[in-house]
Amino acid sequence: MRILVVILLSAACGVLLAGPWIDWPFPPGQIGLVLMLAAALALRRYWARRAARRGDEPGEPEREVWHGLASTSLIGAQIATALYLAGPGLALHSTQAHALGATAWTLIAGAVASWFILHRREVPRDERDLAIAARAHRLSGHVLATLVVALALLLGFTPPARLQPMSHVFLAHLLLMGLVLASLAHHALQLWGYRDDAGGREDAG
Amino acid sequence: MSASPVGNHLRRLRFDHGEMTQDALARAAGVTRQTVIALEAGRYAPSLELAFRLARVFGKRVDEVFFWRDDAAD
Repeated sequence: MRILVVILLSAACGVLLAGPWIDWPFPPGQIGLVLMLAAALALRRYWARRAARRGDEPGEPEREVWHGLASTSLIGAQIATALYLAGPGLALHSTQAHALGATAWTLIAGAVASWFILHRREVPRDERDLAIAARAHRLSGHVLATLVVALALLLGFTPPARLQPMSHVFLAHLLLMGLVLASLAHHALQLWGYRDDAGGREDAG
Repeated sequence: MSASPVGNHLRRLRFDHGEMTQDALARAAGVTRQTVIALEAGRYAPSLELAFRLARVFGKRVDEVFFWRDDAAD
């Protein structure tokens, strides 16, 4: 449940940053960056409090997965929304493509900066973390393969008249979205593994 | 995750060794504290290498720290 809530909340932020519904006082990428830093600081405090009170805070590797899940969801939703709004004819040197790129790269910078806020320089990953990651990796590989086959079928069976308006930039971003979705599945499956490992308790994380 | 068929005496050994904390054991064995928690709860069976490292922390043999549960299926 918590995994789904984080995905949906982060995705909602990404959609709002990409959409034209809010007239942001600053570039949306910068708003997103500040939001990510603030969320990382709040989360670091929350986990420190949990460590002091209950001693059931997530370990370093699990924290990184939570961070990856939220960042991937936010950035993926931002790119997907911008792509949807721009349409299949998105040109490389256009205002829309430049805005998409600037926002996405600023958000990626925010993801890197917020990782440093959450990072604690502890034991990086032990064999239990690697086992959980390996299980998730195997399953997310299937997700990626399914998405690639779905995209191949879509491109193969779409009438040429409907394919022609699709620019190479649009198609490249579609491929990237496949990677983003597989990465999201990878993070979610890892967190599911940690939750399972913690005895299935709802507050794992 | 189902209970591991490999049991252990880690909790008792920690207390026998000056009430060693989970964190101290984790650092000594080079794993996260969450892995020590999972081991003590019987939810995770360590690799042979980790079993040896944990046993060495307490100066014991592996079979003095880990055991096969009688109720586990063969």
